Amino acid sequence: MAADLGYVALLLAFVLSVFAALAAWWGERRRTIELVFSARNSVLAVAGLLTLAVLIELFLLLSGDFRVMYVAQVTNRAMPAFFKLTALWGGQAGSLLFWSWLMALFAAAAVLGGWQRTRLLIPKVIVVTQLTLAFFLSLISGIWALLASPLEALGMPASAALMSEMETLTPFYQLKFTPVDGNGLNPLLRHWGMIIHPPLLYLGFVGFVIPFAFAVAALSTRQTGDLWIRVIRRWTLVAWLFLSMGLLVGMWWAYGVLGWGGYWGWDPVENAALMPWLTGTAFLHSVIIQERRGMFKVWNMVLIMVTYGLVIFGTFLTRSGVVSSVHAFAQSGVGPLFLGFVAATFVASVLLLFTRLDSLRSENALDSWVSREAVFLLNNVLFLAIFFVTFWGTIFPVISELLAGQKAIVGPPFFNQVNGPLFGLLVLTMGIAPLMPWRRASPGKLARLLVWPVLAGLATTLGLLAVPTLRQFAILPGTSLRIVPVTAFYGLLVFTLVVIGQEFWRGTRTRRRAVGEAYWTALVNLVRYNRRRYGGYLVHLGVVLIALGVIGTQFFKVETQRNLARGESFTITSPLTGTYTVTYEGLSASIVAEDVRRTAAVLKITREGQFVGLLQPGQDFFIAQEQAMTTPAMHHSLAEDLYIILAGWEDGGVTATFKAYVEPLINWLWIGGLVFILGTAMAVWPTPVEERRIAVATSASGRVVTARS
Amino acid sequence: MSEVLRTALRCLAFSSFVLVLALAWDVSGALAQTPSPDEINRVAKMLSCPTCAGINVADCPTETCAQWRAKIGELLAEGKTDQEILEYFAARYGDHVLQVPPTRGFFLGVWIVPILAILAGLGTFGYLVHRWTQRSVVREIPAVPGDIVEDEYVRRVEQELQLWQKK
Repeated sequence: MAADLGYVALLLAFVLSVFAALAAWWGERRRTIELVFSARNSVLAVAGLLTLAVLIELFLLLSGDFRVMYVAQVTNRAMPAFFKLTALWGGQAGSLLFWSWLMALFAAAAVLGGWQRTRLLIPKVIVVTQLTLAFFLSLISGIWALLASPLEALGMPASAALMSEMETLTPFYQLKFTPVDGNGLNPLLRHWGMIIHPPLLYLGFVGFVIPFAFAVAALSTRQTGDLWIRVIRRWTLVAWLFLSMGLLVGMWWAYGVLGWGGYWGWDPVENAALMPWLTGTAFLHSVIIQERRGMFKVWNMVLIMVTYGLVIFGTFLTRSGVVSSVHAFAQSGVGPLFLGFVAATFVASVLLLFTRLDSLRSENALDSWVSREAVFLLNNVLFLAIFFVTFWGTIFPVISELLAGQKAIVGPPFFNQVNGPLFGLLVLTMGIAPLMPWRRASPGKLARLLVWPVLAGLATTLGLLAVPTLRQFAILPGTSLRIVPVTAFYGLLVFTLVVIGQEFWRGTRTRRRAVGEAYWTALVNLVRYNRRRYGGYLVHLGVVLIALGVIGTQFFKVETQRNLARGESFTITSPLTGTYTVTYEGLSASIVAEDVRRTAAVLKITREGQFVGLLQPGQDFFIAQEQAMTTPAMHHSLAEDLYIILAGWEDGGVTATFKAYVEPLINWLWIGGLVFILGTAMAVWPTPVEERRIAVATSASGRVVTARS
Repeated sequence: MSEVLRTALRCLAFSSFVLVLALAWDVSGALAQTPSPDEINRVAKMLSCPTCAGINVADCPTETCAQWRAKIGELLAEGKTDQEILEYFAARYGDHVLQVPPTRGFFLGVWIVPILAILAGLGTFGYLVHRWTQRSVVREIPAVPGDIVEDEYVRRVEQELQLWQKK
C-alpha cells in the first residue's frame, strides 16, 4: 500500500518534471508568463512529491517491508535502524531516487532564489534542470518498460528484454512473494564514512547541474554578460565544496576501512568523482578571469558543459559497472540509456555554443606572458591535462576490449607516473599566481616578491638533500624516481607556503597602515572583508598540507608482512621517528553488534624501547552475509601513522600474520582537508558587498522584468 | 678381494659424503632462497586480482590471490626475476592481470595518447598566449611611483570601509 503510494508520487513527479520543462520552454518562446508560472509551480511540486517518495521509501526500509525488492536487497532484520535509513543510498534504485530528490530540491532553490534577480534566465534554467531530472526519474519509474512491446514487435527481442527489466529498477518494485529476510547492506558500507560519503558526492554532482543550467540559459537568451557568472558563483562553490568533502571523506573511509594502507586507488569509481572535480576546479579559476577581465568566455562555457557531462558520466560509471567489464554494460538497460543521454546533452550543448559564439567575444586581449591571466590559463591547461590522463586511463580498458579485443587493466602506477609531475606543476602555478598582477607584471616588483619564497624553497630542497637517511627511503616502487624530485617537490611546497604567508602579511600590513588597526584586528578584518580572496588562500594552504601528506605516503611509506607465534615480535623502521617493535600477545574474540563477531589480535607496540601502546587489529565477521572484513588498528601522530592489519591466523591464534605500514605525514592530509573545507566555506559565506554587486549587475543588464508574484 | 672391497667401501663412503654434501648444499640453497612475504608482495603488487576489480594481488584477501602469492614464492625460489614472473602470469592468464599493460602494440596507446594530448595542450597554450600578446597593442603601463600593488590594496580597503560605514 505504502509502496504503491510512493510509486504514484514518483510517476507524478516524472510527469510534472516533463511538463515543467515543456511549459517553461513554450512560455518563454510565446512570452506567456502564465505558463512560466505554471512551470515554476510544477518545479516546486516535483520537489514536494519526491520528498514524499523519499519519506515513503525510508518508512519501507525502517519497517522492513521485504516484499519491496529494494528493501530486501539492502536491509535485513538484524540491521540497526540507523543503517536501515542510510540503506536509502546503499543500492542502485535507492541511490537514483536520492539523487533525483536532491536534484529536485536544488532546482527548486535555484528557481525560487533566482526568480527576482534573473527572471529572464529562469525559464531555461527550469528546462535544463527538469529535463535532467526527468531523465533520472524515467530510469526509476519504470517508464522505459513501456518500450518493451514496441521493440518486441520491431523484432528486437534483446533490447525489449533490457527495457522490460527496467521495471524492476524502481525503488518501489514489489515482489510476488514476501521473503523471510533481506540480504542486508554490504558490510563495507556499514561505516559512518560510507554513510556520509555518497550524499556529499551526490550533493556535489547535483550542485554542478545548476551552474550548467544558468550557463545554457545565458547562452540561449544571449544574456552572456556578467549576471549569470555572478549568480552561479555561489552555486559552483557550494557544489565544489560538497564534491571536495565527498572525495576527502571517501579517501578517509578507504584508509580506515579497506585495510590496504592506502586512501586512493585510481579506481574507476573514484576517478568518476575526481574528473568533474578537476574540470570544476578549472572552471572556478578561469571564471575569475571572466569576471575581472571579460576574457575566456567560450572556454568557461566549454568547461561548465564538460563538467556537467562528467557529472552524468560519473553517475553512469558508478552505476553501470561498464569499466570492470564491457559485458556488465549490456546486462542492464541503465548503461545504454545513460550513454545516450550524455551524448545527446553533449551534442546539444556544442550546437548551442556554436550558434552563440558571436555573443561570447573577448572584451580584452592578453597583455603579457607574465601576468595572472597567463598563469590562470596554464593552471587550466594542467587541470585539463590531469583530467584527460584520468579519463583516458579509466576508459582505456573499455576501448582496448572494444577496438582491439584485448583485455587490459590500467592500474595506479600509470596514474601516479603521469599525473604526479602534472600535479607538481600545478602546485607551482598555485604558488606563483598570487604574485602575478593582472595584465602585466613589472619584473623588478615580481623579483622583490619572489625573494623570500624562492630562498625558503631552495633552502628546503638543499636541506633535505643533505639528510642521508632520507635517501634510502625515497624510492617509488616500480619507477626510477629518486630523492631529487621528492626534495624539489617539498621545496615547491615551502615556496607556495611562504607566498601565501607573504600575501596575508602584506594585506595585514597595508590594512594596518591604512586603517590604523592592531596586527591581529587587521588580519581578522582583512579576511572578513575579503572572504573570497583569503578563503581562496586558505584553500591553497589546505592543498599544500594535503600534498605534504600525499608525497610523504607516496615516497616514504614502509611496509612489511610477518607471521608471528604468540610472544614473538618484529620490527619496522620509520624514516622519521625510529624503529617500532611489534609483539604479538594473543587473540581475543568479542561481539561488536548483534550480527557481527570480531576476532582481534593484541599487539604491544614500542618505539626505540619506549612503550607506545596496545593495538588491536582484527577481523569482523558479518554472520548474515558470511563475509569477513579487516579492521585496521592505527597509532596516530603528526609525524606518521603506524597502521597494522591482521591478515590471518592459524590454530586458533597460535600463530598470526600481520601487515604493518608506516605512513609518514599522512595526518597532514586530513588536517589539510579540514583547512581546505574551512577555506571554501569562508569563500562561500555571503558578504553584503557581494549582494550589492549582484544588484548592480542586475540593474546593468537593463532588461529586468519587474516581479509580479 | 679385500683390496677390492676396501676400494669399493672407500668409493661408497666418498660418494655418500658427496651426496650428503650435495644434499646439504641443496637444502641450504633452498633455505637461503625462500622468499620473504615482503619479497612476494613486491611482485604481487604488480599483478591485478583476476577475479575482483581494482585491487592488486598483494592486498587482495581472496583464496585465488593467496594461491597466486604462493606461486610467486615458488617462482622466486626458483630464481626467476620479477619480470619473468610477471611474464609467466601474463602468458598464462592474459595481459589484463598486469597492473599496467605491456608496452607493445595497441597497449602503447595507454602512454602515447595522454603524452600527445599534454603536449598538444601545452602547445596550444603557448600558441594562444603568443598570438594574443602579439595582437594586443603594446601599451607601457605608466610608471607609478611607489608600490602599485599596495596602492591597489589601499584603494580597495578604503572603498570597502566606506561601504561598511554606510551600513
